[in-house]
Amino acid sequence: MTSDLPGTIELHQSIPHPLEGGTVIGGSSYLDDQGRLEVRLAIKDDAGERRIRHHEGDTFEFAGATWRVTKVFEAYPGGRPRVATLSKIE
Amino acid sequence: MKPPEIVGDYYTNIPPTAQDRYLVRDQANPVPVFDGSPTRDQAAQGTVGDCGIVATLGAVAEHRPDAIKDAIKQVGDGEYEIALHDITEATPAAPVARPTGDITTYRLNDELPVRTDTPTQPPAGIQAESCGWPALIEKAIAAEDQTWDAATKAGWEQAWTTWHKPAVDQDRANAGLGASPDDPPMGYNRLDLGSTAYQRADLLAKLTGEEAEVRRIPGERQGEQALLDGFRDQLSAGKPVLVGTRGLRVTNERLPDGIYAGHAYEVTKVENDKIHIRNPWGYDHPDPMDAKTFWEYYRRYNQDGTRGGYYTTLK
Repeated sequence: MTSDLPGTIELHQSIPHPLEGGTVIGGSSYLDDQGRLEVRLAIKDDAGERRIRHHEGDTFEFAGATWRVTKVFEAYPGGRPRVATLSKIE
Repeated sequence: MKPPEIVGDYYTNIPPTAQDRYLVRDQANPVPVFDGSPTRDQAAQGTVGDCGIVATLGAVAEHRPDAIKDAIKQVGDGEYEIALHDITEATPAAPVARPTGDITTYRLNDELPVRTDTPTQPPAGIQAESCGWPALIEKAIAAEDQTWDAATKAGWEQAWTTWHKPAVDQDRANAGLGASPDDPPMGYNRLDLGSTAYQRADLLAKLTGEEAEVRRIPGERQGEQALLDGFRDQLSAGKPVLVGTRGLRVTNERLPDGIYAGHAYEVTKVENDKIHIRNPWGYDHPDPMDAKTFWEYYRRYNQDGTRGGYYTTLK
């Protein structure tokens, strides 16, 4: 039920974002081989466990819905930086 | 005990919450306190940054399941007593946490903080899908600061001001938010700041009633075999091994899959000279790694370029 999902998810470094029923997403951001900010997402949902890599604007499937990577944040040393903002596509 | 504090005034990963009897939300199918003997896989981190506590709970469940079972007693409808051993704390100068022989019992109800920013309102803290013991013990640990004496409170205030607040305020500034309070975080917010190898030793001792210690990770001088044998020997003796990753060295550093900066993990196995490590998220575990890879990511870089790191285990 996509209506059971939040409209947006904000990921933070080293922190998972569980939803109900064992569904969870987490990730980290870094520079890819082309020097672009990329987010590596670790997903666990009814479709299983997987790791995917995306840039801002990309879409992906998670928890029965389609999501867009609306923002990837820089990962700075120290503290607990935000990793990415994910928005559910209605 | 009062409900442990959980507010949005510190690190920004803490969501808005409400108190809810989550374990009995579905009264026809309540979540039991135990689902068989406790196991490490039943301890999975939530959105609180207490990876070291979750990793330690999982490790104790796997190696000392009876210690977990003995720690929790239901004393009424939705009322529990959580018993933790009193200890003298591990420090860099005296890196062994020693039980004193006394026990402190925390009486708490089954209300848990749940996220109100998500329609299904899942727990904000440790996950509670199949059983409730991890969330109840996490709540007791979060409530511990309600029993602190003046000296302990003063020590925490100093640690907050000196070590934690600058990083929290940097995080808040990056999110466009004002500075955190001068008063230190308590409850779940305190746990959210993370733990040191010494604090994980303290928790190991509180949960098991056994001495727990912080050991230096054998380095290149001692050799790869010393590292592997050290972990293997502890695990063979039924003793948990807890480790933590270094921070990022540079902005946007890319770490291997499953290895997150500033994160606590449990070593679960050494096999074919590869170290198997569990992510307390309950998934996204790093690939089994050789000693060189472990040394790179599970030891800090000192300012003089040398490396150092510690692990936590039972003595």
